[in-house]
Amino acid sequence: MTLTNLAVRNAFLRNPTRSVLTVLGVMVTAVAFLFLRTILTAWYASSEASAADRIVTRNAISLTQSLPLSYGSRIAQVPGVTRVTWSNWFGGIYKDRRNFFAQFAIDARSALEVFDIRFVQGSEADFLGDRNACIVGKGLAEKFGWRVGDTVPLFSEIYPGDWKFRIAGIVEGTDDASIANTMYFHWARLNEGLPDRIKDTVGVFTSKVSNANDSPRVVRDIDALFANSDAETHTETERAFRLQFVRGSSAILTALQIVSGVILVIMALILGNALAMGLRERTGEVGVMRAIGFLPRHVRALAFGEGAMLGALGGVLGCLLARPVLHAVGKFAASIGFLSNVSYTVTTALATAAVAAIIGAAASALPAVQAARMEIVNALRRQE
Amino acid sequence: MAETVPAAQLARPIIEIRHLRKVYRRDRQELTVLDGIDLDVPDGAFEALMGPSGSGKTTLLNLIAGIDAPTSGSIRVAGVEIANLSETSRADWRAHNIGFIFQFYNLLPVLTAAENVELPLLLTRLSRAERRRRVEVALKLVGLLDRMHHTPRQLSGGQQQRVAIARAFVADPKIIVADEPTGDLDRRSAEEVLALLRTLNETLGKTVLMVTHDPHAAEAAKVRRRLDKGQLT
Repeated sequence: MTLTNLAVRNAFLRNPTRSVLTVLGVMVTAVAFLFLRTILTAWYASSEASAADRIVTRNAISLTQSLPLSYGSRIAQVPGVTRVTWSNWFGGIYKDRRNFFAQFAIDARSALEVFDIRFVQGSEADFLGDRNACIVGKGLAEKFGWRVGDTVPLFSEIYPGDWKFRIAGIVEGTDDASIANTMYFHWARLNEGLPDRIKDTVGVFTSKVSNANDSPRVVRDIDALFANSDAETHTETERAFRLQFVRGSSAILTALQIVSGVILVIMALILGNALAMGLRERTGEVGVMRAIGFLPRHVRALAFGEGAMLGALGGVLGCLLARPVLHAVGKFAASIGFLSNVSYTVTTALATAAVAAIIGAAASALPAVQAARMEIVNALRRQE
Repeated sequence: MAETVPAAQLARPIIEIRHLRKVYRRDRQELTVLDGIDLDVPDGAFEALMGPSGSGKTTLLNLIAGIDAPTSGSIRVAGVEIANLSETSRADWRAHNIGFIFQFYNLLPVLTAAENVELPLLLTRLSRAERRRRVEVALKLVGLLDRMHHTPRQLSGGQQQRVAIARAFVADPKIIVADEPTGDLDRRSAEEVLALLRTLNETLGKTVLMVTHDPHAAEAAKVRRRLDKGQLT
């Protein structure tokens, strides 16, 4: 028999019903905590997946304002820029508004050089050779049951009309998970059907730079190039560009951060309450142990150990339960184009279990110190 | 005042108490529980402390056992002035010198009989094998070796108190203090417990101090003392 053994039995055998309920409480809070942390991580992941050597140029007024296509060749001449591509947000609807996913009209040849897109099925040559062709992300193909050769009809409110694209390839990104849930088709196909007033206009230019360390200078040079023009530009790194969308949700993100903190407090209260009750019930036993010669530090260690074990078990069970939950949520989020990176990560799970164990130990601090401080005669008298 | 004077009293005192006072303060009121106690208990004695409720018997026992501190006076036990010891030193001193027996046994319900007996040995440097050997010897002496793997809930009150007695002497302390050890037991179990206390005293040479209300239990002791209103009479 050891004191560790005694702590284990105190934690789990003394009052099994209370132990089970406490562990379940911790488990549920751990699931909620892990869920929120994963959502937050996924939210930021889109910007973190950005390549350091890509910069994005948009209209300085707003992303909704376009830029002349002619800017592309001028940007390409800025020292340090090795390749320029462009794209337009299409905003099409596939059969029903609920089937939301992102579509971009891209300059295919340059886009395939600037972005790291890998063909899972179909071929690059087929895509490049057919103006009516498109490539779709692997996630979209799985969701809608698309195969290479199928035709995807889209209705667009931004670019009126019915559009049809033949799938020439199913793709995924090597460094960007959002590609798996996006559809790309030829910008030229879009441009040829546009009225003159918006013909040859571009949503954003994406440039690849030879040296990521040169990006700040290249950014300045590009914007200087179009200063005082009819369409001034705003250039930034791809990461900064994507972070705008995250920042746009800053209130939500802050709320999620706060709620995840509140969850930890709830976890601490659940554990602290259970431990306080447990220690109070065995005040007499604490008195006996102290009388026999055990020191206050032994009593504290037993209580800390007990709290840590309850917290850790609840945390581990929560992480195990969170796995299928997060997989399901991740699939759903990706299917509606909300977040494409919601996935269960071992690192977050381990951190959650560790946090639960630490909170368990910390929550036992007050009852542990109180029990250890109690006068032996008072502790013995308490149970009489 | 002692009612009988056995030969053991001639031996060197293991407990020497001089001018002992214990005053409890509650709010602004002071309650003097022990007032000027002088007491010598020889090594190897078996003494019973009797007296009405509130007379200070348990307080005196707690002071001798080093789990309470006096307001004034001197308590020298086993050659050590325990009132001057720090909390840590006093805990260590108790672990080596005092074995406790309580009225309600106070066994840990999550541990088996053997593990409860082993508890004081966790504070020693004995190997696991040696601890186990000592536990078995102690349980054999109290006649419960065959129940060593039973939890307290699976034992009767008398059996639990015998386990508590085994726990009290397993670390080989010099003094056993027993606070109403038969108070919660039927007559037969009480007799068994008293017989064990006599064995600890006579066979193992332990000094036994027992607080009891029960005159019959007190008969088991060689010396009987009475406390009344905080003074030995």
